[in-house]
Amino acid sequence: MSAPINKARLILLLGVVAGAAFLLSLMAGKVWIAPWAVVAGTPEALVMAELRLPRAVLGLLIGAMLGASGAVMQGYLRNPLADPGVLGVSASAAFGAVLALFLGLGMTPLMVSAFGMGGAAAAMGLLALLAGRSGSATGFILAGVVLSSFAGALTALLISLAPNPFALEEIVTWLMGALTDRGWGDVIRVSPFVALGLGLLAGTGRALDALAMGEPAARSLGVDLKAIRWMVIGGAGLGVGAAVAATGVIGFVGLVVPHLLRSFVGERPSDLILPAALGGAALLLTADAAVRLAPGATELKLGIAMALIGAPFFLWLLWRGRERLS
Amino acid sequence: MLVVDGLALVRGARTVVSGVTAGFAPGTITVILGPNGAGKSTLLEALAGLLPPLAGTVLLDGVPLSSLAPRARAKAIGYLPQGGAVHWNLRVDELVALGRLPHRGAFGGLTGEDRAAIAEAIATADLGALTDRPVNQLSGGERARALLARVLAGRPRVLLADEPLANLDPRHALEALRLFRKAADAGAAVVLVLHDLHAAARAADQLLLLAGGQVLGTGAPEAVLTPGLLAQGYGVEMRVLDDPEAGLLILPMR
Repeated sequence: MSAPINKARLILLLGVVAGAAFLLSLMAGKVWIAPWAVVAGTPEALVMAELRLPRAVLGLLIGAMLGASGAVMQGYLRNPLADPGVLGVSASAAFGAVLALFLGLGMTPLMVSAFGMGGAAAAMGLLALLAGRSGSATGFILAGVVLSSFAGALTALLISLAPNPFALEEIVTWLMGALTDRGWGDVIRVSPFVALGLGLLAGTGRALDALAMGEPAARSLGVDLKAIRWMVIGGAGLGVGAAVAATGVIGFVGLVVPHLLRSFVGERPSDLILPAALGGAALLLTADAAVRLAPGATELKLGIAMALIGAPFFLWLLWRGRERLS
Repeated sequence: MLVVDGLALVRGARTVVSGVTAGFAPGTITVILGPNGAGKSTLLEALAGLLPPLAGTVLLDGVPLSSLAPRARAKAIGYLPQGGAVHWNLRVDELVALGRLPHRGAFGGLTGEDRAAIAEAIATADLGALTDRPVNQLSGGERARALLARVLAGRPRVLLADEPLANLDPRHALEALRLFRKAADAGAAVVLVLHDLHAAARAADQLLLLAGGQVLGTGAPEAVLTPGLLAQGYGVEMRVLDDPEAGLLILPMR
């Protein structure tokens, strides 16, 4: 079996790529700053320490979270087109955060975070109720789709009811998703939940492998489907909920990254989780550096950029692989 | 030894199996027969410990399956569900390795024992040349062997398979039956759900004819595959001929 060596090599490579993307994210901007400027005690050091470093750390955490939860969702639902959005967690977290902005709590980021995670937690609870006691993937995905459109409608309702143009602008801007002007406070609020979320998701690998043969076979191998469902709901809910509350909705990372990596890592779900986390971090950091470098007076929103690049790219992937899918 | 006593099983509100009592001895093959909807798959699921009985017990070496931890149960009982779906395009060796899951922790690599069991299953199922092959590129016969090797890799004491011969041509069906016989010879209690009466007559040490969720007849093939019981079970008149070489031949008449 030569495969494990190749896998280790690939993980190392992805780690190096993610590290390079992290450095790029530190350096790139309207002003290029060398990473070693930190020690010099210059104005650049302040920019680096207070603006770019937390932004890069946040990008790393959230990219890893989105990539890993995409890989786990796809494995759990046995569907390569699933991602955190399917759960309805992103949309529900977004609704929670928008509610905080609607209520004029935008000045206290802790409240926005709390509302975002509250939205995600409500989504998790509802999912568990709607998906029934069976723990079946079909019930889960249906509940997620319904929840996602419901949360979307509630968010649209809040936008249409926005009390004044300032609140409206704040909400719409936030919804577009960005890492702009995020600080250490955001990192501190996000990191425990992302760590917990990633830990829960990492523990599902073996069970996801067994689920490749369907639920009865997985159960016969000793997999506790209910426990796995809670780990997926809890892991993706906590991590993605916190992430969305900090940055707004950033799509496609969870969808595209596992899909791309599958041709290198193989299709076994447990082999995909760590690479997808590294790949997600690399993608998000690179995209965030790219939007900073893009010409124009105002910075392009990361959420928009990701959708603009991600959607056509994904359609192309589908087009190329259409024989395989049919 | 797997023993069921007075077993009653429900799906939703519907009673699918009732009053089933039977024993499945190590080293033997039992084939469960019966018309569609007789409760064969439901019974097999209960034997796998995946469906808690409404009444009665399923005992493995005297211990109720319901009292076993899922992992202990999974180590003892290998179960091949109907259809044999594989949702991701795993390689054959990855698929076979899944059979070791109940023997492993949540993390960490394969132990020497795991590797030995996987290699043995691959050799038994004659998959040595196909270990790197993605499952999607296997023929129907190869796929059936790979799925069987997955179960064998767990070295179960009880091996359950639901219609493992579906979609196999005669040669591959015979090949698959030979593998189940090998597993029985190695000491496993093998229980198969089959539709092919001839394959059942040939493979079984013991037959269990189900109809309407109840046991219509049990025993050696010659004792169960009689025109009377078959007509009662399937609602079709059948002619049973005994060929000196082929064994029992069963022809549905009207």
